[in-house]
Amino acid sequence: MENTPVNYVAEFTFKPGASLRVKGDFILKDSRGNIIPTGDSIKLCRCGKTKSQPFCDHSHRLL
Amino acid sequence: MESNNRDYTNGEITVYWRPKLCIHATTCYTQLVEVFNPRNRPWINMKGATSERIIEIVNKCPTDALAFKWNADNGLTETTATKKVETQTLQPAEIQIMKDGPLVITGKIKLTDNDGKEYKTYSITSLCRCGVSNNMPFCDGTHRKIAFEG
Ligand code: SF4
Ligand code: FES
Ligand code: FES
Repeated sequence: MENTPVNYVAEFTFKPGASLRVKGDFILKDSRGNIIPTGDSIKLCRCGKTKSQPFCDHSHRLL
Repeated sequence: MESNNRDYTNGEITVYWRPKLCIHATTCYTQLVEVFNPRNRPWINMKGATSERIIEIVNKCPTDALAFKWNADNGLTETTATKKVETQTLQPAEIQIMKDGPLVITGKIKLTDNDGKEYKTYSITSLCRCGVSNNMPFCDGTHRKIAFEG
């Protein structure tokens, strides 16, 4: 018996001033609604400066 | 700030309104003015449509300004509601990139910062992508002021 049921399908962890890590069961869609194929763990940009939207390319370091 | 938040119920569901997070995308009132009418007081009329229809629109709000929850003490309806929530739980989370705006996440997710502090999420959670929100990690609409492109 599991007494701590997991009640979420994906985990989102963010670093202040840097990226957002997404892990688990998720679908990523671009602004037109098309699915962007990904693995089950990705890093999305939160700083607005990446050159490969929507993913973090470490440009946040230059801020 | 918190005190401007409101909730509205029809007994079956409760809709939460957090004005601070509204970016005035007008989704709610262009699609269901019988319920969401900024000219009326209160501006949300829970008798204007069915719960299902209200939920549909709440789920289209691109920010966390609108959220809803099924009320707990509601005999029969609760059973259906619980089932719905359970079915939802099995769906993968969906991350929708909004053009020049936030990440809009639907589904059951866990949101934490890298120190492990957990943040509350709703049926729809909009996270800032432009880097300048005043309410990190959430989008507060500032991306429009800075004309964020991405
Ligand atoms: S609550 Fe959501 S849908 Fe309604 S105006 Fe604000 S942003 Fe738009
Ligand atoms: S967060 Fe890393 S590039 Fe923006
Ligand atoms: S994306 Fe909306 S405030 Fe940054």
